[in-house]
Amino acid sequence: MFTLSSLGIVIFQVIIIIVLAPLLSGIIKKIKAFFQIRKGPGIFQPYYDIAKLMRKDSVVSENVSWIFHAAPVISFAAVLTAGLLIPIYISDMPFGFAGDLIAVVYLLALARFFTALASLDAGSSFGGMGGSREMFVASMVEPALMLSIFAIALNVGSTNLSFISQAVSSMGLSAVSPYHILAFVALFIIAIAETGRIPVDNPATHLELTMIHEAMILEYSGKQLAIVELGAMMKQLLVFSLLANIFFPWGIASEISAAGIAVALAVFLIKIIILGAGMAIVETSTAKWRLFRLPDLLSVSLMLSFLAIVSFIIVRGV
Amino acid sequence: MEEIVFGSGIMQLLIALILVSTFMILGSTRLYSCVRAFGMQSFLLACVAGIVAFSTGKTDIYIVAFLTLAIKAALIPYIFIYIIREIKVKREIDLYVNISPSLIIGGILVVISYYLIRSINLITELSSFALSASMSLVSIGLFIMISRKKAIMQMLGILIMENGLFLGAISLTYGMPLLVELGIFFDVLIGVLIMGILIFRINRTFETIDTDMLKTLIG
Amino acid sequence: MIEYLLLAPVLTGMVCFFSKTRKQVETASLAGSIATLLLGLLLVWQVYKYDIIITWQNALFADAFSAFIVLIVSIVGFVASLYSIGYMGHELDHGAMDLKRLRLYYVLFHGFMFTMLLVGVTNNLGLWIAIEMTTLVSALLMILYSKKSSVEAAWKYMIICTVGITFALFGTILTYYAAVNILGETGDALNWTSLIAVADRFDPTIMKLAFIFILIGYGTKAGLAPMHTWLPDAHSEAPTPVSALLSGVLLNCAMYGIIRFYTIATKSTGIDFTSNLLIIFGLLSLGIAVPFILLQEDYKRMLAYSSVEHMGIIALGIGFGGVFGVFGAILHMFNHAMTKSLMFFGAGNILQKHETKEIFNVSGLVKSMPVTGAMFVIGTLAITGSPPFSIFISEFTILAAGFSQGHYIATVLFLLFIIMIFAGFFNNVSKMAFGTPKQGIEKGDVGRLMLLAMGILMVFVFVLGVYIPPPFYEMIMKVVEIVR
Repeated sequence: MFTLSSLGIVIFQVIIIIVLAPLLSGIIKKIKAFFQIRKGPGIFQPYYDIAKLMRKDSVVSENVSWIFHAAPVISFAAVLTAGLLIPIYISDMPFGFAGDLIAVVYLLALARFFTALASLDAGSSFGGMGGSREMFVASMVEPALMLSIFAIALNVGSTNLSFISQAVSSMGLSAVSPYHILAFVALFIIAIAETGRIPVDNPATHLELTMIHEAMILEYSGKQLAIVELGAMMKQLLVFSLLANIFFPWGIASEISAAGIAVALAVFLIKIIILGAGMAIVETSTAKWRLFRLPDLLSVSLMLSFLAIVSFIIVRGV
Repeated sequence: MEEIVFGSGIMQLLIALILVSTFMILGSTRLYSCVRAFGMQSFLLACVAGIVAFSTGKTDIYIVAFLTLAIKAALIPYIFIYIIREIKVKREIDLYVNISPSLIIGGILVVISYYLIRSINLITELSSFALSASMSLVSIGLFIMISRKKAIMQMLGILIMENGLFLGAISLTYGMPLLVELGIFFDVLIGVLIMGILIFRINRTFETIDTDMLKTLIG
Repeated sequence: MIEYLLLAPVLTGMVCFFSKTRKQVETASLAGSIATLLLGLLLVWQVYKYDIIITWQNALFADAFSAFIVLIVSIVGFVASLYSIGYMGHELDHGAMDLKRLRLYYVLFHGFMFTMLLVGVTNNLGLWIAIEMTTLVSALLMILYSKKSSVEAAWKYMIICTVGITFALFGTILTYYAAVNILGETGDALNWTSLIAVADRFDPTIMKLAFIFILIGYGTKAGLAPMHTWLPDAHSEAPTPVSALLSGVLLNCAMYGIIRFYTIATKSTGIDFTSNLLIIFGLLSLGIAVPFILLQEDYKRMLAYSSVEHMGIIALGIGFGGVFGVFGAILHMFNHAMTKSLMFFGAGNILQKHETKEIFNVSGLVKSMPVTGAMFVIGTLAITGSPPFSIFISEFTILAAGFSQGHYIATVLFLLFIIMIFAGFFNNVSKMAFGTPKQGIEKGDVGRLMLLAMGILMVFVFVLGVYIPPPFYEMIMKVVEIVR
């Protein structure tokens, strides 16, 4: 079942994920700068940052154990593996048999777990704080994520991402239904939390009172930091492509052909830029919330997914 | 006919959005955003009435849709904003039940409403979405009234209940006869005005509009 | 005919609005309420003659039941406006309100009359609109004084009743839905007459649900427990003449709504369902009133709880059913209206003299205010159902109906509750009426008009206790025919 072409698909997917992730990050920064009437760094700035970090040596605390060294690599690998399950330019993923949406959720959770573990390992106060906050947010994000995914899975009758993507794109415009939209909005809110953006976390700050993700990775430097940062950007790209290709999979290639793939890639890029612009609008128009108000936001997401499921049941009359 | 109207995708979407707007009111701690969400809800309701009017071609329902738009989506939110401004009330609403539990209770109410509607087997499955949404609006409106401290929010809760009934009426029977419908609009409007007067009076005599203070008459 | 009846209070209100002096306002109000009374009696006479009157493209109608409600509204309204002149005049003299407020009071008073008359004569389920209007107007009457307690009472009243009435609207919608399924979408689908004719073909499931919502909705307005919580506040904080109207008339109007729907629902669901609901709510109201009357410290609140009790009795009467039960309930509506208004007027006199609502701050009424005191004591005897007063007759009829229809447990409970209420009531009132007057209370009664108003009501209380005039009896029998 594993042909050469599927190997090609997988390799191409990996390349796309690694190459596009920093670009997306740069584009969002640029759009944000536009809304804030600043010039902002160029869209390729994240590449320069990573390249520069790669050239630097790491400074590591004497007290850390092997976990500290292993964590970035494990997280990176977990995110990349999740990337193999999510359709980006082609809906029929070769690894589709290996796992579904739930596997994606757990792979992302694994990455998060090791990052949080590493933050505790260094024994610095910020790291511990960041780690505990991250897990606090995660404890609410993950059920909400699960529920919103179930809402959409219920609609097509499968949790396999490739299948969902194909099913929705073949349904055409009739796929747009109350539950579809509700689940999308719910997942969008989760995406805000998952990518560590305002109002949940502020990716641009090192203010100790508010940071979550930045506090966790404060101890890292040099090459390790580059891997961690790249991992975070990849995760962001994956969350975006989940949003784009599960809810609006139109344009995605269903079989291997150069033209189809080129179109699919272009459409994909447009979709994630639109999503990024939406994210940037949310970020510039809201203020960061207090940590203890976050459950409110995430329960909104939870409720929306719940409503999606309920309205599915009502409309279909199951 | 009914099935065609209420089963159509756009109608389902509107009804889902009405539910979302209700949850926006439940999930918000700011008075202005609550009022805005209410305005949105009424606007969506007017759209629902408009579509029903269009597909049945009845002038009566057009009038009702227009009145919903003018009174519930424009005038009543304006009255709310006027009251909020005039009495210089603190913009945050105080809660007896926090946001997250409120939202969860709201969700439970939706499910209960659905099962209630199903169990009485009122109508074909297709418009049961509209009916369960209407029941949920009524129950959530009631919940908002008892879980929020500000007098204004109690007023809002009543109006949400009223909106729910309006949705129920229009999905069950395409609304009541015009004369009755006009009377209901009149009562709602006058009711809002009088509640506004009462809120001003409460604010003047108690120097707050927290209904916590209104607990002296017992027994 | 009906239009003129409705027009009378509206015109009176307008004249009051443009009046300049106190004298003018009072004259206008009194003249207006006399006109309303006369027109009301005329309507009753016409209904007596023609059985049913329908005007205004079916929007307004009057049968015996409507006429009965109109009769109660216009009699109590007239007496209350008579009493108002004395009572509100006293308030004006003592600086409790100014001329502007007084004028507003009379305008709202007649507006209130208008809405209550409207309840009686609306032909269709639009009854809902009229009942909601009564809430709106009376809430404004309640905040005439800017006291903290009255603002609080008005808010509670407004909120609880509006929510209740919203449920009633849902019930109304469901009824309409049931009717449309049979009659098709005509405007007629809301008219009492056409509803009654086809009510037996309505879907019973829907009608059951509708009746529950109606009972909760209008039951809130009628003060049936456990939705009665607003009632003691509102009835004790309103100005006294308004209290009398609220307790004596408005509760009956809400009851009227319940009974109308009861008639329709019963045809579709069968009598057991609706009757049992009414009996349960009725007993609950009676039971809840007992402890609150026994331990009450505020005499106006005591009267308010007594209204909860009596609404419970009316619900019981309808619930027991049979000619006796319904007859007793309808008669009880009238008797309660008269007696409770009498009691509230008495309480108003006491309040103006003693300036307190607390029972233990009032004593020796029979000595300090001989006429009021005597009438208050007689009123107490009457309201608790002792012979030979009017309420005894209606309560006895309901009791008899309970036994004859085989509702033994309910009837025994009913008997038990009214005995306990009798004891509680009498214990409280005897503290107020006998003993030595409090220091600083001069001997002497209040104004003559107020006593006259009470005297008129006394006549009804006495006469109906020993003799029911044949035309009145016939009228009630017609109502019973409509309800059953």
